[in-house]
Amino acid sequence: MMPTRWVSPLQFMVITVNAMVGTSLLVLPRSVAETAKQDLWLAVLLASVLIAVSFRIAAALAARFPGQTAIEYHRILLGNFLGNLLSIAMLALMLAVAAQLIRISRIAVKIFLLDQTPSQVIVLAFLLLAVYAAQSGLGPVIRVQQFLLLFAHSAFVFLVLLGLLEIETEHYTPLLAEGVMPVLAGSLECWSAYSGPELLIGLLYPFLLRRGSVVRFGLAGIGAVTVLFVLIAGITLGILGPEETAHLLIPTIMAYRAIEIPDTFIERIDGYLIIVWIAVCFTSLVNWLYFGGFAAARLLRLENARPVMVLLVPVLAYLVTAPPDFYSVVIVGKWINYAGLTWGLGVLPLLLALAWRRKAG
Amino acid sequence: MGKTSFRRLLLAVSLIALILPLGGCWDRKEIENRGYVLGVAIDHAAPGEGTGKKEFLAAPQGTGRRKYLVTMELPKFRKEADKEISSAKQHLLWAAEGESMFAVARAINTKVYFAMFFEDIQTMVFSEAVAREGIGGLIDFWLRDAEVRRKVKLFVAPGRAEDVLKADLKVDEVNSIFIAKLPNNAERSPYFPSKATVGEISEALRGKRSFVLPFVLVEGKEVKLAKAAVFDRRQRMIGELDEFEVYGAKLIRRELKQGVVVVANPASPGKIAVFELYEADINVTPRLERGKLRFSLEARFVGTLGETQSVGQDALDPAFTTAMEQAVAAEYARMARKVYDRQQALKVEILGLGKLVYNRYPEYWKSIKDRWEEEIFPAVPIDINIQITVRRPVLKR
Amino acid sequence: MGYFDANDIRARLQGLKKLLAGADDVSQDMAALARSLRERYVESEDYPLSAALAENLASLREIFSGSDDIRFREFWAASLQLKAAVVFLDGMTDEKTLNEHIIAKLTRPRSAGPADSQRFGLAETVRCTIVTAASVQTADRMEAVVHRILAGDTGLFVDTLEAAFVVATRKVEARAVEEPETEAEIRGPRDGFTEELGVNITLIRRRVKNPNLVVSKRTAGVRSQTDIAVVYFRGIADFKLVGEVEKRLRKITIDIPAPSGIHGLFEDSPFSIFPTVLNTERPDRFVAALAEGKVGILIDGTPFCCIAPTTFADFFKSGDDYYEKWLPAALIRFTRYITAFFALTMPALYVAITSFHPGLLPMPLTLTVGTSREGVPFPTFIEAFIMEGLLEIMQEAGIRLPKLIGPAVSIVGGLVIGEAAVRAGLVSPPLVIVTSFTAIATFSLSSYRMGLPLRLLRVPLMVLAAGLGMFGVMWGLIAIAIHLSILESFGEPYLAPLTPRSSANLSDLKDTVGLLPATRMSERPAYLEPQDAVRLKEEENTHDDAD
Repeated sequence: MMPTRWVSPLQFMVITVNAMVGTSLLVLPRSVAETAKQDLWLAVLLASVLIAVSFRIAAALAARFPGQTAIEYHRILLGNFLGNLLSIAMLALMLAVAAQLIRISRIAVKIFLLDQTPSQVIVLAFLLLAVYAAQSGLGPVIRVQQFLLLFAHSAFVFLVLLGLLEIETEHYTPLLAEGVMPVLAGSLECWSAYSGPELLIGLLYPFLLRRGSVVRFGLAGIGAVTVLFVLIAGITLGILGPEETAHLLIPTIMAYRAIEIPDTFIERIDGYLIIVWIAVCFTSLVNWLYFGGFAAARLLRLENARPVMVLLVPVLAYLVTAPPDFYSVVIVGKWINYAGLTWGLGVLPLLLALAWRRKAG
Repeated sequence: MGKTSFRRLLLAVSLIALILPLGGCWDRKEIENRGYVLGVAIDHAAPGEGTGKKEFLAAPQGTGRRKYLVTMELPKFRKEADKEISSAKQHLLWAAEGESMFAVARAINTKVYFAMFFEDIQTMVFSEAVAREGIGGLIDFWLRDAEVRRKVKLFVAPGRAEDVLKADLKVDEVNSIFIAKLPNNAERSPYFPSKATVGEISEALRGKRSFVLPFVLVEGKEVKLAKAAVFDRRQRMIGELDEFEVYGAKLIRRELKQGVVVVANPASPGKIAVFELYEADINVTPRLERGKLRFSLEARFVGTLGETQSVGQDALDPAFTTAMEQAVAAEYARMARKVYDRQQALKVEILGLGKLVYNRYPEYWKSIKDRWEEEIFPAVPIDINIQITVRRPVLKR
Repeated sequence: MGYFDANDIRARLQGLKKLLAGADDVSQDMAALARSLRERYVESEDYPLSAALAENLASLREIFSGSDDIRFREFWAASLQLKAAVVFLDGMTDEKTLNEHIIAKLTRPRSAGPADSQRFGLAETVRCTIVTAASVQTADRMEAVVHRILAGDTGLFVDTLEAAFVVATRKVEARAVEEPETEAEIRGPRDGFTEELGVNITLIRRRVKNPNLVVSKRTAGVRSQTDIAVVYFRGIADFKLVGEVEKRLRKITIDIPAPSGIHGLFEDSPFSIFPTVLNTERPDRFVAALAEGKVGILIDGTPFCCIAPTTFADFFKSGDDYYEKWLPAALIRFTRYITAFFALTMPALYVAITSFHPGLLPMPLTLTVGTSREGVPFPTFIEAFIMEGLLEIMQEAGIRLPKLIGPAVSIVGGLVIGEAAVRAGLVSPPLVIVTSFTAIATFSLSSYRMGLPLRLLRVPLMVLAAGLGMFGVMWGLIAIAIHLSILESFGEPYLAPLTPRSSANLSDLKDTVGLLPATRMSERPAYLEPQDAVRLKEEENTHDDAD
């Protein structure tokens, strides 16, 4: 299916931001704190530079094939078989990200909001919403994101900023006590938190308006998300301290649970945070579902992607329930991280090099 | 156009229709049917108090002893009209005995129809006996449960912890809520440790640090917070700090913001003079010279003359002010020195000095981290230098 | 034995009875058929205009048969030396004009008559030299004449002429221009549209003296021939939009539309519960919309005009926003969004928080609510549902009741239901507060039409809250957001200014959730793609930059 609307750079930025701000912000501080300790915010900051580089490479690659999506130029660059294989790998990565997103939100909702409710209900509720939006086409998918960005995300950021009331500066010191290596290693850990724009630009590029400014807007989106992530990671660290952050399973929520100001109404920020976060998580999910379905339809050379999106629902529902326990969810998360890292800093530069050689030769 | 929008409407309606049977109200529980636990007291189960009573209290556990008596305090929901009639206490106490906190909570559920609900816990009291045995394992449940807040305040009771909840206080408030509000005055009266929440203790646990908890004392119809129970890094209570030592500890921890100090009046013997602190600037710096660590504490306090009780004295006399400043500085130094020596004797360090060493000398800290409290810290000297400025005698000379 | 078996006879008799009854039915049907043949539906196109006056009058008598308010007046037009007749509707015609400018002029003999008629021809003579009314048009088709007669004009027929004159003599009793009742404003102008199309157009023309304000009239309704005027600014409004509006109006094929509900025939997504056409009875608001590049539709018979396209944000605007200083106005407008949110979600939030997540409330509040719920027999959801039902009933009663006994509703509703239910312990006091707050929040919305979907959606949200707590509420809100983002109004996204298409459209946000000073809002909304995007020209801006 050709999306009927052309996507403006601003809308691309919105998609970028929403695709990135997924569940990772709930668990991000933990995996990074394990390695980077009190410098975890630096690691999160550094990771954004990595993703920006990767996004720049992906944009340069897409610009070589202005009329085609990633699925097609994979075929052109690597031949039919290898190209399709690569596209399948990319699709699998996208679906894994979406499944992980739902799984972690399921965990969070079950722990903090609905203790007894069967988890299938939560998963199905998320998927139904996403498929309802995705069925209506790219225009509504983008618009609902913009609408929620204006209201839900701003409420979310407001709640996040309340965390500044409770931070203790001694949790940030000493700076770089262990040297730069743990920070570097930590920044690789947060790749999957930022993952998104480098995958989506390959699919969206043919439908973009004013392509000259797309890179600028994409980088601005990455910048905005970086600010949010550094804030969240920094606040979590500032409230809990490095050891506790690495120890708790969902540190962000627990950090906000610690905010309580006597004689005010400010109590239980964590509950409100997770409620608003449901909307934030949805905007991310709808992107992954829509573009996952879109990529799958392109891969199968189908004109209409809508049935594919519906068919993705049972696939995702299966993938969500596949890891049996929390530990395996963490392991799957690590694998997704490495796969994304390989794609962003390994496969994409390789493809760009191939495209250069093809042009030269 | 009309057809597609109708189909969309159908889709939307069927979505809602689908979600409704799914939402079967699994988690629904009306607000008045929850047991809002406001306070928890943990004691050792009393030995031999009549077997019948004892059987009634026991929590069913496959493994584990009837080690602890856990008392939970709940509010009593009463209508406005009832309040005027009876002036009885506003709380209900439920207790059970067992080793597992979770099993105990579930055992209490068999006595009431409202299930215990932990989101509003304000206070948790340990008896001194329990504290001396170690509380690290006991707070595990309260940290693991998804309902408990991280701002639950922890206290140690010198006698039985349940007596704190049972006390018939003169205020018209639930004991736990009243006690949990007491630390609001910690800045004005720094005689008890104030940073003592489940979250803080969890952080200390994780960072393998020693910590202090305030004592809660009951006397007749009153409670008060005073002194501190010192816990080592194995979360066992090993000693106490008196009120002046807590004052001094707050000074070294750079938490001191307000407070009064009473000294002998230098101008009229037999009388007192009171200094009220309102501006504190404290710096503690570790120095590592030739492998020897040394702390130096520099503090500049600004305050007012709060009280002299000596009639006819000119409080604006510069000689008096200078003498007063020296006396106050000596008193502060005495309190700081006292707690410092006490810590060195106890071989624990609750003053946050380790973190300062880590900040300044991260490499050195790594080499001594495990020996810090037992070997290194007891031998580290501290230089205390406190400067006082008495800015004005407030309203009269 | 026997020829006449009793059973047989009974059966035959019954058969006969049935036949008789059937015959009765048939005769009734026949009578109805005959009546309908006699009083068949008249299509005035079927009657040609003829040169003979008598024939024309006969046709007209047939067309208007059965109506007693039609008047035929035949007379001898001495000035033409011909027979003539006027046809008009009693009560809708200005008889003074009719007497002085038509009949009097025609019946007075003229000396130069024949010479004139040779010079101009008969038709032009009548039109140009005899009849002195302001507007005289020649019509050559019967249905045009009939249509104008029905509108209150006078048809003038002259013998030997195969055409008719239509003289504008319309004089209708119209309501005076009054203050709009449903859209009260503090500093807005006090005039409102009336039911009369001509008056409404006057109200607009009076505000804008510009020939580029286009008023193009058409009719809708196969039978009612309701007059409709499409109004827009040439050179501002996007011509694609104007074309779209006109196309949709052409497509209305209903016979008699209800003027106040005519927008239902051309708006997008008829199944959606959200209004996609804004109705207003304020001329100032109408003109402001035209100035933004929108298209207005005035309908005869209703004081409510339509504005297309309409976006979600338009329902939260009020004329007062532009008449006050920008910061208070912006805050008030932002408050409206918050109010709308609470009008939609307040009962659902209460249900979700009290029966699912009491931990979301601060501890003292939890205990207060818990204490007040003690002893209430219903679960919160049922309790809230009952109160919501009562609220809706009272709201409806308040609208339908005659004004004189209106206060009775508030006494019964407020005192009896609120106070007594709480005292009896049937309803908890916090819920009464929640319900009243919800009602007040709904009343404070600037648009009644936007209040309706919010009222409707409250119930499903409450159901979701009772099933899944805050997760359910959030789920419902996201579903509503998706629905809103699917909606479109005349080709523009319903959420248009809130979800800017590109960075160039970001300036639309200046006048959406908030507001800037008038000198800072120099562009028209970009999502409408107006032909002329700038409202405030540069030279007028300069003095502002100087200081």
